[in-house]
Amino acid sequence: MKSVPLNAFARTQGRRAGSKKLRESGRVPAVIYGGQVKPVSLELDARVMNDLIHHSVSENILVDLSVDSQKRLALVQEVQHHPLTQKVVHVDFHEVSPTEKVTVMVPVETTGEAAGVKTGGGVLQHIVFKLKVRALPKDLPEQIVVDVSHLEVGKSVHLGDIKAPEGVEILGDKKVSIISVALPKTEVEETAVAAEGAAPAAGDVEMLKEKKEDGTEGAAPAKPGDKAAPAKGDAKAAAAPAKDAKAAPAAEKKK
Amino acid sequence: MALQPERVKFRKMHRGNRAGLAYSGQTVAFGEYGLMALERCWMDSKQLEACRVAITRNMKRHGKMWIRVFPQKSFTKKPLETRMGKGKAPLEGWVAVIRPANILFEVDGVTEAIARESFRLAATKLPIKTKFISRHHRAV
Repeated sequence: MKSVPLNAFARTQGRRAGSKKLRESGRVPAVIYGGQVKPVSLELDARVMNDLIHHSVSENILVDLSVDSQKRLALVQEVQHHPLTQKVVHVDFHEVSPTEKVTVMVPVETTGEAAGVKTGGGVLQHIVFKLKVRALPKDLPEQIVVDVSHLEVGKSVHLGDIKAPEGVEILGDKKVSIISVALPKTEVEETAVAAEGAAPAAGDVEMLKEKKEDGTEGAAPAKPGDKAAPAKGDAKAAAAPAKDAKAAPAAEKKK
Repeated sequence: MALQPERVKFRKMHRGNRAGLAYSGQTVAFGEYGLMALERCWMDSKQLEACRVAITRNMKRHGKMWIRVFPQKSFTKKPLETRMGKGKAPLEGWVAVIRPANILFEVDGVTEAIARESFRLAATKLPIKTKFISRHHRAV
Protein backbone atom coordinates (compact mmCIF):
# COMPACT_ATOMS: atom_id res chain seq x y z
CA MET A 1 0.00 0.00 0.00
CA LYS A 2 1.42 3.37 -0.99
CA SER A 3 1.37 6.11 1.59
CA VAL A 4 -0.61 9.24 0.80
CA PRO A 5 0.53 12.66 2.01
CA LEU A 6 -1.96 14.39 4.31
CA ASN A 7 -1.76 17.68 6.16
CA ALA A 8 -3.02 17.87 9.72
CA PHE A 9 -3.00 20.62 12.30
CA ALA A 10 -2.78 20.50 16.06
CA ARG A 11 -6.29 20.90 17.43
CA THR A 12 -7.11 24.32 18.75
CA GLN A 13 -10.56 23.69 20.15
CA GLY A 14 -11.24 20.80 22.46
CA ARG A 15 -14.24 18.99 23.91
CA ARG A 16 -17.67 18.59 22.43
CA ALA A 17 -18.54 22.20 21.73
CA GLY A 18 -15.10 22.79 20.19
CA SER A 19 -15.47 19.77 17.92
CA LYS A 20 -18.90 20.99 16.80
CA LYS A 21 -17.44 24.39 15.90
CA LEU A 22 -14.62 22.65 14.03
CA ARG A 23 -17.07 20.65 11.93
CA GLU A 24 -19.07 23.77 11.16
CA SER A 25 -15.91 25.48 9.95
CA GLY A 26 -15.15 22.66 7.48
CA ARG A 27 -12.67 20.72 9.53
CA VAL A 28 -12.79 17.23 11.02
CA PRO A 29 -11.43 16.37 14.46
CA ALA A 30 -8.90 13.54 14.51
CA VAL A 31 -6.43 11.88 16.82
CA ILE A 32 -3.13 10.12 16.33
CA TYR A 33 -1.86 7.51 18.76
CA GLY A 34 0.51 4.58 18.87
CA GLY A 35 4.26 4.45 18.85
CA GLN A 36 6.15 5.72 21.88
CA VAL A 37 4.57 9.15 22.09
CA LYS A 38 1.42 10.44 23.74
CA PRO A 39 -1.78 10.73 21.68
CA VAL A 40 -2.20 14.09 19.96
CA SER A 41 -5.53 15.69 19.02
CA LEU A 42 -5.56 16.91 15.43
CA GLU A 43 -7.84 18.56 12.93
CA LEU A 44 -8.07 17.90 9.19
CA ASP A 45 -9.60 19.62 6.23
CA ALA A 46 -12.95 17.85 5.77
CA ARG A 47 -12.88 18.12 1.98
CA VAL A 48 -9.39 16.61 1.71
CA MET A 49 -10.39 13.74 4.00
CA ASN A 50 -13.59 13.07 2.03
CA ASP A 51 -11.63 13.04 -1.25
CA LEU A 52 -9.11 10.66 0.25
CA ILE A 53 -11.80 8.21 1.36
CA HIS A 54 -13.73 8.40 -1.91
CA HIS A 55 -10.65 7.80 -4.03
CA SER A 56 -9.42 4.80 -2.05
CA VAL A 57 -10.73 1.28 -2.39
CA SER A 58 -11.30 0.81 1.33
CA GLU A 59 -10.91 2.80 4.51
CA ASN A 60 -7.53 1.15 5.14
CA ILE A 61 -5.30 4.03 4.10
CA LEU A 62 -1.63 4.53 4.85
CA VAL A 63 -0.91 8.24 5.26
CA ASP A 64 2.20 10.35 5.60
CA LEU A 65 0.81 12.72 8.14
CA SER A 66 2.57 16.05 8.42
CA VAL A 67 1.71 17.70 11.71
CA ASP A 68 3.40 21.08 12.24
CA SER A 69 6.28 20.21 9.87
CA GLN A 70 6.74 16.85 11.57
CA LYS A 71 6.15 13.72 9.44
CA ARG A 72 4.50 10.64 10.93
CA LEU A 73 3.56 7.42 9.14
CA ALA A 74 0.09 6.29 10.21
CA LEU A 75 -2.74 3.96 9.27
CA VAL A 76 -6.32 5.13 9.28
CA GLN A 77 -7.57 3.07 12.18
CA GLU A 78 -11.20 4.17 12.20
CA VAL A 79 -13.39 6.65 10.36
CA GLN A 80 -16.56 7.61 12.20
CA HIS A 81 -19.45 8.61 9.95
CA HIS A 82 -22.66 10.38 10.87
CA PRO A 83 -25.32 7.65 10.77
CA LEU A 84 -27.77 9.64 8.68
CA THR A 85 -25.71 11.95 6.47
CA GLN A 86 -22.68 9.64 6.28
CA LYS A 87 -20.37 12.64 6.66
CA VAL A 88 -17.01 12.04 8.30
CA VAL A 89 -17.29 12.95 11.98
CA HIS A 90 -13.93 11.83 13.39
CA VAL A 91 -10.80 10.03 12.23
CA ASP A 92 -8.40 7.86 14.23
CA PHE A 93 -4.82 7.50 13.00
CA HIS A 94 -2.58 4.75 14.33
CA GLU A 95 1.11 5.58 14.06
CA VAL A 96 3.08 2.65 12.66
CA SER A 97 6.71 1.89 12.14
CA PRO A 98 7.74 1.05 8.54
CA THR A 99 9.77 -1.91 9.83
CA GLU A 100 7.15 -3.42 12.16
CA LYS A 101 4.35 -5.72 11.05
CA VAL A 102 0.79 -4.59 11.71
CA THR A 103 -2.51 -6.47 11.87
CA VAL A 104 -5.47 -4.92 10.06
CA MET A 105 -8.85 -5.98 8.67
CA VAL A 106 -8.90 -5.92 4.88
CA PRO A 107 -12.09 -6.17 2.77
CA VAL A 108 -12.64 -9.16 0.47
CA GLU A 109 -13.79 -8.54 -3.09
CA THR A 110 -14.83 -11.02 -5.75
CA THR A 111 -13.96 -11.08 -9.40
CA GLY A 112 -15.68 -12.95 -12.21
CA GLU A 113 -19.14 -14.47 -12.33
CA ALA A 114 -19.48 -17.75 -10.48
CA ALA A 115 -20.35 -20.76 -12.65
CA GLY A 116 -23.07 -21.72 -10.19
CA VAL A 117 -24.69 -18.29 -10.60
CA LYS A 118 -24.26 -18.18 -14.38
CA THR A 119 -25.62 -21.62 -15.20
CA GLY A 120 -26.87 -23.23 -12.02
CA GLY A 121 -29.19 -20.44 -10.89
CA GLY A 122 -27.41 -20.08 -7.56
CA VAL A 123 -26.78 -17.01 -5.43
CA LEU A 124 -23.30 -15.80 -4.52
CA GLN A 125 -23.08 -15.34 -0.77
CA HIS A 126 -20.46 -13.28 1.01
CA ILE A 127 -20.10 -14.91 4.40
CA VAL A 128 -17.06 -12.98 5.62
CA PHE A 129 -16.54 -9.42 4.42
CA LYS A 130 -13.20 -8.62 6.04
CA LEU A 131 -10.09 -10.69 6.67
CA LYS A 132 -7.49 -10.17 9.34
CA VAL A 133 -4.07 -9.83 7.74
CA ARG A 134 -0.60 -9.20 9.10
CA ALA A 135 2.10 -7.48 7.09
CA LEU A 136 4.52 -4.58 6.95
CA PRO A 137 2.69 -1.29 6.29
CA LYS A 138 4.15 -1.02 2.77
CA ASP A 139 2.98 -4.56 1.89
CA LEU A 140 -0.59 -4.18 3.18
CA PRO A 141 -3.17 -4.82 0.44
CA GLU A 142 -6.05 -2.37 0.02
CA GLN A 143 -8.34 -5.34 -0.58
CA ILE A 144 -8.08 -9.06 -1.21
CA VAL A 145 -9.52 -10.12 -4.53
CA VAL A 146 -10.91 -13.65 -4.85
CA ASP A 147 -11.68 -15.20 -8.23
CA VAL A 148 -15.04 -16.99 -7.98
CA SER A 149 -15.52 -17.90 -11.64
CA HIS A 150 -14.98 -21.62 -10.93
CA LEU A 151 -17.44 -21.75 -8.03
CA GLU A 152 -20.32 -24.22 -8.55
CA VAL A 153 -23.58 -24.42 -6.61
CA GLY A 154 -23.01 -25.76 -3.10
CA LYS A 155 -19.29 -25.02 -3.18
CA SER A 156 -17.45 -22.38 -1.21
CA VAL A 157 -14.10 -20.64 -0.98
CA HIS A 158 -12.45 -21.23 2.38
CA LEU A 159 -9.88 -19.05 4.09
CA GLY A 160 -7.18 -21.62 3.33
CA ASP A 161 -7.96 -21.40 -0.42
CA ILE A 162 -7.17 -17.69 -0.62
CA LYS A 163 -3.70 -16.86 -1.88
CA ALA A 164 -2.19 -14.06 0.15
CA PRO A 165 -0.15 -11.42 -1.69
CA GLU A 166 3.59 -11.49 -1.15
CA GLY A 167 4.68 -10.50 2.35
CA VAL A 168 1.14 -10.78 3.69
CA GLU A 169 -0.10 -13.36 6.15
CA ILE A 170 -3.84 -14.05 6.40
CA LEU A 171 -4.82 -14.86 9.97
CA GLY A 172 -7.71 -17.04 11.15
CA ASP A 173 -9.16 -20.53 10.90
CA LYS A 174 -8.35 -21.97 7.47
CA LYS A 175 -11.63 -23.91 7.34
CA VAL A 176 -13.89 -20.85 7.58
CA SER A 177 -16.06 -20.29 4.48
CA ILE A 178 -15.59 -16.85 2.95
CA ILE A 179 -17.74 -16.97 -0.18
CA SER A 180 -20.20 -19.61 -1.27
CA VAL A 181 -22.83 -20.26 -3.92
CA ALA A 182 -26.18 -21.47 -2.64
CA LEU A 183 -29.47 -22.23 -4.33
CA PRO A 184 -32.19 -19.63 -3.69
CA LYS A 185 -35.41 -20.66 -1.95
CA THR A 186 -37.83 -22.26 -4.38
CA GLU A 187 -41.39 -21.08 -4.81
CA VAL A 188 -42.70 -24.31 -3.24
CA GLU A 189 -40.58 -23.78 -0.10
CA GLU A 190 -41.76 -20.20 0.29
CA THR A 191 -45.44 -21.06 -0.07
CA ALA A 192 -45.00 -23.91 2.42
CA VAL A 193 -43.49 -21.51 4.95
CA ALA A 194 -46.30 -19.02 4.32
CA ALA A 195 -48.92 -21.72 4.81
CA GLU A 196 -47.37 -22.83 8.10
CA GLY A 197 -47.77 -19.50 9.76
CA ALA A 198 -50.89 -18.38 7.96
CA ALA A 199 -51.61 -14.86 9.29
CA PRO A 200 -52.07 -15.22 13.04
CA ALA A 201 -54.36 -12.66 14.67
CA ALA A 202 -52.67 -9.83 16.55
CA GLY A 203 -53.71 -11.23 19.92
CA ASP A 204 -52.60 -14.79 19.15
CA VAL A 205 -49.35 -14.64 21.00
CA GLU A 206 -48.13 -16.95 23.69
CA MET A 207 -47.16 -15.36 26.96
CA LEU A 208 -44.29 -16.48 29.13
CA LYS A 209 -46.56 -16.32 32.18
CA GLU A 210 -49.72 -17.57 30.48
CA LYS A 211 -52.95 -16.23 31.94
CA LYS A 212 -55.51 -18.93 32.42
CA GLU A 213 -58.95 -17.91 31.28
CA ASP A 214 -60.90 -20.33 33.47
CA GLY A 215 -60.95 -18.09 36.51
CA THR A 216 -57.60 -19.16 37.98
CA GLU A 217 -55.97 -16.23 36.23
CA GLY A 218 -52.30 -15.69 36.94
CA ALA A 219 -51.78 -17.09 40.37
CA ALA A 220 -51.12 -20.70 41.14
CA PRO A 221 -53.60 -22.25 43.57
CA ALA A 222 -52.86 -20.41 46.76
CA LYS A 223 -52.16 -22.51 49.79
CA PRO A 224 -51.18 -20.89 53.02
CA GLY A 225 -47.43 -21.12 53.52
CA ASP A 226 -46.90 -22.27 49.94
CA LYS A 227 -44.20 -20.40 47.94
CA ALA A 228 -46.36 -20.32 44.84
CA ALA A 229 -46.05 -17.58 42.24
CA PRO A 230 -48.07 -14.51 43.16
CA ALA A 231 -50.58 -12.98 40.80
CA LYS A 232 -49.07 -11.14 37.82
CA GLY A 233 -48.55 -7.49 38.55
CA ASP A 234 -48.94 -7.97 42.29
CA ALA A 235 -45.60 -6.39 43.01
CA LYS A 236 -46.06 -6.31 46.74
CA ALA A 237 -46.73 -10.00 46.84
CA ALA A 238 -43.67 -10.74 44.75
CA ALA A 239 -41.49 -8.55 46.94
CA ALA A 240 -42.54 -10.12 50.18
CA PRO A 241 -42.59 -13.90 49.95
CA ALA A 242 -43.22 -14.11 53.69
CA LYS A 243 -46.61 -12.57 53.12
CA ASP A 244 -47.53 -15.12 50.46
CA ALA A 245 -50.33 -16.59 52.47
CA LYS A 246 -51.95 -13.18 52.79
CA ALA A 247 -51.17 -12.09 49.24
CA ALA A 248 -52.81 -15.02 47.48
CA PRO A 249 -56.29 -14.48 48.90
CA ALA A 250 -55.88 -10.80 48.08
CA ALA A 251 -55.24 -11.71 44.44
CA GLU A 252 -58.36 -13.83 44.41
CA LYS A 253 -60.41 -10.97 45.78
CA LYS A 254 -59.31 -8.79 42.88
CA LYS A 255 -60.97 -11.12 40.43
CA MET B 1 -46.96 -14.21 6.57
CA ALA B 2 -47.16 -11.22 8.87
CA LEU B 3 -44.36 -10.92 11.36
CA GLN B 4 -45.12 -10.95 15.06
CA PRO B 5 -43.44 -12.33 18.18
CA GLU B 6 -44.16 -15.95 19.09
CA ARG B 7 -44.02 -15.44 22.81
CA VAL B 8 -44.02 -12.33 24.98
CA LYS B 9 -43.83 -11.64 28.68
CA PHE B 10 -46.58 -9.02 28.63
CA ARG B 11 -49.06 -8.49 25.80
CA LYS B 12 -49.86 -4.81 26.16
CA MET B 13 -47.02 -2.31 26.13
CA HIS B 14 -46.36 1.34 26.87
CA ARG B 15 -46.01 3.60 23.86
CA GLY B 16 -42.38 4.46 24.61
CA ASN B 17 -40.61 7.17 22.66
CA ARG B 18 -39.10 7.42 19.20
CA ALA B 19 -36.73 10.31 19.75
CA GLY B 20 -33.19 10.50 18.40
CA LEU B 21 -31.40 8.55 15.72
CA ALA B 22 -31.06 4.80 15.53
CA TYR B 23 -28.11 3.75 17.63
CA SER B 24 -27.95 0.21 16.30
CA GLY B 25 -28.87 -1.37 12.99
CA GLN B 26 -27.53 1.61 11.06
CA THR B 27 -24.94 -0.11 8.87
CA VAL B 28 -25.31 -2.55 5.99
CA ALA B 29 -24.35 -5.75 7.78
CA PHE B 30 -25.29 -8.74 5.60
CA GLY B 31 -25.89 -7.75 2.00
CA GLU B 32 -24.44 -5.38 -0.55
CA TYR B 33 -27.24 -2.79 -0.68
CA GLY B 34 -29.64 -1.49 1.92
CA LEU B 35 -32.70 0.71 2.41
CA MET B 36 -32.23 3.31 5.14
CA ALA B 37 -35.06 5.10 6.95
CA LEU B 38 -34.74 8.89 7.00
CA GLU B 39 -37.73 9.50 9.24
CA ARG B 40 -39.29 7.94 12.31
CA CYS B 41 -42.43 5.84 12.44
CA TRP B 42 -44.18 2.80 13.82
CA MET B 43 -43.88 0.36 10.93
CA ASP B 44 -46.48 -2.35 11.21
CA SER B 45 -46.18 -5.94 10.14
CA LYS B 46 -48.47 -5.43 7.13
CA GLN B 47 -46.20 -2.71 5.73
CA LEU B 48 -43.14 -4.90 6.25
CA GLU B 49 -44.86 -7.80 4.52
CA ALA B 50 -45.88 -5.58 1.59
CA CYS B 51 -42.27 -4.45 1.20
CA ARG B 52 -41.01 -8.01 1.37
CA VAL B 53 -43.40 -9.11 -1.37
CA ALA B 54 -42.48 -6.11 -3.56
CA ILE B 55 -38.74 -6.79 -3.22
CA THR B 56 -38.88 -10.54 -3.79
CA ARG B 57 -41.19 -10.14 -6.79
CA ASN B 58 -38.94 -7.59 -8.41
CA MET B 59 -35.81 -9.66 -7.77
CA LYS B 60 -37.60 -12.61 -9.41
CA ARG B 61 -36.13 -15.08 -6.91
CA HIS B 62 -32.59 -14.05 -7.64
CA GLY B 63 -30.34 -12.84 -4.90
CA LYS B 64 -31.04 -12.81 -1.21
CA MET B 65 -32.95 -10.45 1.04
CA TRP B 66 -32.74 -9.63 4.73
CA ILE B 67 -35.40 -7.85 6.81
CA ARG B 68 -33.43 -5.94 9.44
CA VAL B 69 -36.33 -4.82 11.62
CA PHE B 70 -38.91 -6.85 13.53
CA PRO B 71 -42.29 -5.73 14.90
CA GLN B 72 -41.60 -6.35 18.60
CA LYS B 73 -44.05 -3.80 19.93
CA SER B 74 -47.78 -4.37 20.30
CA PHE B 75 -50.36 -1.64 19.97
CA THR B 76 -53.98 -1.55 21.03
CA LYS B 77 -57.11 0.12 19.68
CA LYS B 78 -60.46 0.72 21.24
CA PRO B 79 -63.45 -0.66 19.28
CA LEU B 80 -65.67 1.82 17.47
CA GLU B 81 -68.43 3.62 19.39
CA THR B 82 -66.89 2.66 22.71
CA ARG B 83 -66.83 5.09 25.63
CA MET B 84 -63.49 6.04 27.08
CA GLY B 85 -62.15 4.21 30.11
CA LYS B 86 -62.71 0.59 31.11
CA GLY B 87 -59.03 -0.22 30.82
CA LYS B 88 -56.59 -0.66 28.00
CA ALA B 89 -58.09 -1.84 24.72
CA PRO B 90 -57.49 -5.20 23.03
CA LEU B 91 -54.47 -5.79 20.83
CA GLU B 92 -54.70 -4.42 17.29
CA GLY B 93 -51.29 -5.28 15.79
CA TRP B 94 -47.54 -5.30 16.03
CA VAL B 95 -45.09 -2.58 15.01
CA ALA B 96 -41.36 -1.99 14.71
CA VAL B 97 -40.14 1.34 16.10
CA ILE B 98 -38.17 2.95 13.29
CA ARG B 99 -35.80 5.84 13.88
CA PRO B 100 -33.82 7.78 11.26
CA ALA B 101 -30.74 5.84 10.06
CA ASN B 102 -32.31 2.41 10.67
CA ILE B 103 -31.53 -0.06 7.89
CA LEU B 104 -34.85 -1.68 6.99
CA PHE B 105 -33.93 -4.17 4.26
CA GLU B 106 -30.77 -5.49 2.65
CA VAL B 107 -30.22 -7.40 -0.57
CA ASP B 108 -27.29 -9.22 -2.11
CA GLY B 109 -26.63 -11.25 -5.24
CA VAL B 110 -28.37 -8.82 -7.62
CA THR B 111 -27.15 -5.91 -9.71
CA GLU B 112 -27.34 -2.39 -8.35
CA ALA B 113 -30.06 -1.50 -10.87
CA ILE B 114 -32.31 -4.33 -9.68
CA ALA B 115 -31.61 -3.52 -6.03
CA ARG B 116 -32.47 0.15 -6.60
CA GLU B 117 -35.73 -0.69 -8.39
CA SER B 118 -36.69 -3.23 -5.71
CA PHE B 119 -36.11 -0.73 -2.94
CA ARG B 120 -37.99 1.97 -4.86
CA LEU B 121 -41.00 -0.33 -5.06
CA ALA B 122 -40.67 -1.21 -1.38
CA ALA B 123 -40.36 2.44 -0.38
CA THR B 124 -43.72 3.21 -1.98
CA LYS B 125 -45.34 0.90 0.60
CA LEU B 126 -43.84 2.81 3.51
CA PRO B 127 -45.07 5.91 5.36
CA ILE B 128 -41.59 7.47 5.58
CA LYS B 129 -38.80 8.77 3.37
CA THR B 130 -35.98 6.33 2.71
CA LYS B 131 -32.55 6.28 1.07
CA PHE B 132 -30.70 3.66 -0.95
CA ILE B 133 -27.26 2.90 0.45
CA SER B 134 -24.52 0.51 -0.52
CA ARG B 135 -21.83 -1.16 1.53
CA HIS B 136 -18.95 0.35 -0.43
CA HIS B 137 -20.10 3.85 -1.23
CA ARG B 138 -21.43 5.22 2.01
CA ALA B 139 -22.93 8.44 0.72
CA VAL B 140 -24.99 7.27 -2.25
